[in-house]
Amino acid sequence: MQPLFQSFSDLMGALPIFYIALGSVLGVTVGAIPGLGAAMLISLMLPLTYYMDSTIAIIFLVSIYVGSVTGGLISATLLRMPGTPSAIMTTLDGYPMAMKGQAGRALSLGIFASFVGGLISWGFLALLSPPLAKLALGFGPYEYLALVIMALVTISAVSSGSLMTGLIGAMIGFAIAMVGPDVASATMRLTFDSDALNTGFRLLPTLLGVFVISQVIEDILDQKPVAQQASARLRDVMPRLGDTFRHGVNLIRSSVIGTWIGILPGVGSAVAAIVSYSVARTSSKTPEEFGTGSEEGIVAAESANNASVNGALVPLIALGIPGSVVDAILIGALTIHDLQPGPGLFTNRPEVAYGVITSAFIANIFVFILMLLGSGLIARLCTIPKSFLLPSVVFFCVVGVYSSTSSMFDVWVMFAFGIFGYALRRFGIPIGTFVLGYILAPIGESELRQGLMLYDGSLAPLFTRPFALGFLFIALFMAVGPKLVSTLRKQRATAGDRITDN
Amino acid sequence: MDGKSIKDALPALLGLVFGIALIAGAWNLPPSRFEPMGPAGMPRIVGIALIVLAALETIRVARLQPTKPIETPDEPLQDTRVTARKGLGLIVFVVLTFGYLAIVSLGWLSFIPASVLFLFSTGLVLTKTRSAKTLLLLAVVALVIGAGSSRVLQDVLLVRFPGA
Amino acid sequence: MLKGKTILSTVLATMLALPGYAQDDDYPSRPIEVIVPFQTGGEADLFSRRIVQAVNDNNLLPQPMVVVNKPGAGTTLASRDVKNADPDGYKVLYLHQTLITSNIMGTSDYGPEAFDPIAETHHVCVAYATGGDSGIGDIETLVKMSQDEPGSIKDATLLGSLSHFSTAMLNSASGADIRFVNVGGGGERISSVMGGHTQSMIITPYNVSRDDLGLNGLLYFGPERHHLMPDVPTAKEMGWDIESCVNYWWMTTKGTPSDRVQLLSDTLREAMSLPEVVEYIETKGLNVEFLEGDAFRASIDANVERLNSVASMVQ
Repeated sequence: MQPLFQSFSDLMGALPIFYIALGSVLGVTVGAIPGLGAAMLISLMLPLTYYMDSTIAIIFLVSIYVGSVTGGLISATLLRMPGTPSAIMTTLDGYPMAMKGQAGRALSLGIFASFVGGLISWGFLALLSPPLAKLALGFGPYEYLALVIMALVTISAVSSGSLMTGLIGAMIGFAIAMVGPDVASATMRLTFDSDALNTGFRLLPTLLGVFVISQVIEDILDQKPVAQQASARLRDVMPRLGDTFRHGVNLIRSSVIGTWIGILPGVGSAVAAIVSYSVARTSSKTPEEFGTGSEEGIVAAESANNASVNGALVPLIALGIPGSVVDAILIGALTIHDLQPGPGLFTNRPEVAYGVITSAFIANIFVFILMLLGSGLIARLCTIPKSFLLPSVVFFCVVGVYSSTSSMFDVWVMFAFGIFGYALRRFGIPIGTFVLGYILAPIGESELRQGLMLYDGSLAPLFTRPFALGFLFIALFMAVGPKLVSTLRKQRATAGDRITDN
Repeated sequence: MDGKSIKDALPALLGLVFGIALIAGAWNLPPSRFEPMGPAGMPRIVGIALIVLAALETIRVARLQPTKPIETPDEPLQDTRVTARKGLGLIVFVVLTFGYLAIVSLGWLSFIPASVLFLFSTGLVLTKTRSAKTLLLLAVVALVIGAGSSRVLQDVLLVRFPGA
Repeated sequence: MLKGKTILSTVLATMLALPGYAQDDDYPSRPIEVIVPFQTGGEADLFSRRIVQAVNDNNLLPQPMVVVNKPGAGTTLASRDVKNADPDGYKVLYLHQTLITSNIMGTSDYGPEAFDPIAETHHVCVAYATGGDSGIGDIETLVKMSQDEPGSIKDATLLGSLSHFSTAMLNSASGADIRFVNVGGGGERISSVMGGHTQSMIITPYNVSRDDLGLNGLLYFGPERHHLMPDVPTAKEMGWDIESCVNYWWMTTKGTPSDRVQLLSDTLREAMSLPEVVEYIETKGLNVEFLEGDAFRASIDANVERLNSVASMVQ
């Protein structure tokens, strides 16, 4: 405890606070602009931080990271354009709420949920990192595989349309992700002998194309005037204390789920949001509202994705192993400064190790205040005429994709996926499941193949290892549960009818 | 809308197409010496899954109870005209974006001027009011966003844009 | 009239001298791109950045060097980019033995011979390690366990990479029967071994020396013991004639004028003689050893031969 307080007082100087504030603002901004994101900004900032003091550099980058996840809420809610995968679930309920004229309320819930998610997960990060990281190491390939299956079935079940169309979308996502070098042996697959496809379709162009560019196309064709409806006043945004109590259980549960999924390396905040969203739906009294502007949905998604940020810092702090793409770059930033992340950091350079933890906390508070004060202004984003907004969105997507890989081919891929994504929407295939399938395919496949190698070709451990089996049960429940419940209800209703008939 | 339409069959069809493409694409992949499941395994699993899902989806759609065939009155004429104009807007937008990317890819113009041009011209296509004020505003926004943000990226964050 | 002509010719000359059309006599006249096939922030990426930083900070070249990350397609995206570039010395590839292993594994249809070698700047030989609570404290125990109970020792590796080749060398030299599990890069391997899912792995000496991971170092694949893990025997000491190191190479497009290659090589040599660069690299457990010209070519050839000798075991 002592060094943690020490770290807080260290960071109370003008310079650290300035960098945390700057990082938070930059993070929220890139998070809110569809096309740009934390991973891009942090990797571009990396060479700059070389000239900074090591503690300042790392707290600056952590603040960007924290800000960006919350910033994603804005474009997801107001424009239905998730700038990062973590905001996919937020679009499901945030945008319908905004369309109903409750943009302010939607933002308020999201901001508040993000804040609470950040706080709760921070508690785990600050107090329980070493044991949690150790626990996460116990997750072997089949636990991850079962988690992937669970996430896929879950999102297909909660998306609009039938479970079948959802699963078809997810499997097409899998197919797209498998183009290029094989995850295990780097053998070229499904490239149909085209050298250009040797890298496969990368995450950023695929994601931005399917989500953002296709939404731009939709917006051009869309008749609905978004402008007047989706505006927010500060009064709507200020959280009411009642929310805490009303959504209290949901907040805590989603934050804990988010933290835990964040800790698992490579799984990411999108899955955190899906899992907590579907758990919230299952335990909700009004599950039918999910996807049409449910408050619980926003709370679950936003608290979980923010919680996963701190969760992902746990393995970085405790073991020096990255929990996410951004964490991998943070480790790079530490290494540039001759620092080795991991428990050794606490003994060698405690001010840096605790600086990471403390700045995550301070940045969370900064982002909260910033979003509250700025949200009135932010919500006016959707009053900007489309003729100004849409070209800029396309431009930022081009910039975001190009600057992350220096390849025009990727920009073309994004453009093509914009049209493909639009076609999927028209066909009635939920694009959220497509993207999730795409994101989870490499994890699912490499874990399956790794598991087969580890257990000498046997799938049996998938059913004998308790966590794996548990995830599979949840997946099964998600697939057939709703139908089962409604059949039971119907039977009961007909039984009731019969009684009254008699 | 009818309960059943061509549209309902599309997801299954798309699934089938991708499923077959996956199985065909994985046909000649070599097995792996160290792994029970080589590079071809997953494409086959997913390909088969897609075909099965497409079949299930077809059955589901076929069993849908056809809702009463409402005589959907054709959308009002005025609406069609608006849709047509928006459709045209979309086509022009797609063409402009395509042109923008092509110009940058081929190096005919370097990134910043091409971006400014793109922002201005697409804005012009999408805007409803083409007053002098809007034009000026569009030009300013195109410059600030297109040139301004690119310069920040280029000079501060050392991104190297094509043709720069 | 004559005057008019002079003006005209001056104008023409000026126009011809416009950048882009200029005869590029004074190389380098624009920034030199260092194409790095790894993700930003990865360990290999950082060393290239540190060296490039030193070149730029000390103005060792009239134009800056810039790092361009082009990860993908198992490093072949970057190597193919440099291979197919104009041979003008403005694109430099920074890569290691993967250039050879990807050729052997069939991911690429070319090896180091497709480039003009500039220099080798640093290297690190790999170590073999088990988890701290695995109860396996020395290499003989590991070898024996793998033979007594085939399949009991599983190696966390990345198939087709140098780690895979290195364990294959160990199997071949010691008669061990270590099986492979395809886990991925360094971070994933450490997680897998520490989580007790797999038993052993190829890893850098630096990670073996880290107290907080608590790994047991069993064997070192370098020619002599490593200063960060002085208790760990070398393969040579065990009587096995194997060696495996990651050597960082700087290459450029085949056909680049030799004076340009020489200039790049001189620049790197100067950068690698700076004490801060040497210190940065050596504290991470790597060795700074500058090779150019024939010595560098010999190093490449030796690697090609060594890796090809176990090719049949990994293909």
